[in-house]
Amino acid sequence: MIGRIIHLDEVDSTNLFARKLAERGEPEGTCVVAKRQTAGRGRMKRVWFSPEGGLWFSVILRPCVEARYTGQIGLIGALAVARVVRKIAGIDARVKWPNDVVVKGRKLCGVLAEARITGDRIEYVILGVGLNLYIGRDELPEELRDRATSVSIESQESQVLAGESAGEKENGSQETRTAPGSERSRGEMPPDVVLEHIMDEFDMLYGRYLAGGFDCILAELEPLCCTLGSYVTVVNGNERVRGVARALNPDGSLVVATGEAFVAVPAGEVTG
Amino acid sequence: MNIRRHKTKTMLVAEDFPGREVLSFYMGLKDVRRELKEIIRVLEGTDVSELDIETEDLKLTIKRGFAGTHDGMQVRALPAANQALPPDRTGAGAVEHGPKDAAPPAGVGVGVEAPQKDYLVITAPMVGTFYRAPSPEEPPYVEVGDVVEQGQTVCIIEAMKLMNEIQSEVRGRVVEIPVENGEPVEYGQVLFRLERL
Repeated sequence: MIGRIIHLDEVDSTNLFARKLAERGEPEGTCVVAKRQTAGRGRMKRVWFSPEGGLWFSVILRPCVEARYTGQIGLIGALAVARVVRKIAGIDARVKWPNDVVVKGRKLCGVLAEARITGDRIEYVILGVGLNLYIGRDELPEELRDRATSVSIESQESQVLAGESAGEKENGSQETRTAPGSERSRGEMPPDVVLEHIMDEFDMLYGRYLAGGFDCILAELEPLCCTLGSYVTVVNGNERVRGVARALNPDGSLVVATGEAFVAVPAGEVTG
Repeated sequence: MNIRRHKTKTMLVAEDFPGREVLSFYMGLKDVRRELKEIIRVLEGTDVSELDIETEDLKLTIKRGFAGTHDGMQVRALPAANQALPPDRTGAGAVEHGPKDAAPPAGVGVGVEAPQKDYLVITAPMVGTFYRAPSPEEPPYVEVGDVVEQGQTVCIIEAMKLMNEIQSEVRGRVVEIPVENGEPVEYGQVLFRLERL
């Protein structure tokens, strides 16, 4: 699946850039990665803070699955990121259904997937990933400090907790920042290498998914999904469902026990 | 009333009748027959006039109170069309990406009328939330009266936070948009009715 990687220093949004390519027939697997986004976006065109130090990329996909299953792609993307971050940084990254990666409730990574559908056919899916990689807490905008985190923030905290030498205090320059974590104590893994790891992981999961369906992903996803077991309110358009998230359906939707019924929630915003 | 599917079960959640009583059934295909009596018993206490259930080997339609009368209940059960083709024996490359044992979409909920014949319709290709505009600040993609071209984006359906831009497969003038912005939609639900041009 992995195709060419287009490196950009700055772009408005990697998703927009990748969409323009996809509209012109760019094949599956092309990845657009930028050091900075000037107009990074979240859902419903919300602003996504994306300075240098993060990993901002979008992948063009053309999966041969029915249109009604596109939502599963975002979950696979989030799972790939969570698994890689756990492996390379040793932090407890988990998937928050349906498309975020969080550490202790703070957002580490957001996935913005967009698809173009005609009839029942998927023209393309743009899988956009925004991973807060090496961004210090003081670099985060104030309103995000309680809600967002980064790989560097979390690895430093886990190092302090582990009683290891905390290394030098970060001083704003990426080169001199220490990057704790078992495999990386001598320096941070360059963003391009992190990207490679994520693409490899995604490629493996996506291959399994195309061959065997979403069932193949569920077993990997459920143990890492922090939404399961917690009390949630899911706002889906004008509908609101409150209850305990119990399971993931084989189609990727969330099963919420409301006390009166089990409701399968196909979409929506989850709050704790 | 909504009917939602998960795994081997069809779940029926009815929350829109007096008293907000919520019913739920978990019906495997064998259970459908076993629980039929129970379903009818419960439906008798509600306003629900029509119920369609489709599982892997059974298509079930329950209708009652025809044309405003309450003359009992009619039940029709048929073998589903897909029964001859179990999911695990589909042809090469045809992989079922949803629940392995799911029947083709039974997604048309009670109360969703069939499209009228003289109109072209654009239906929801998935379960999700219907949005008429790319973001809350922007104008809708199309309004009633607009002419929609083939390939034109007409709406967004959000499913599991994935924004699906839906393009029209047909050309026509929009005569009706029966779904409100922000409303959940079912698979196969009519989103737009178009007049053929």
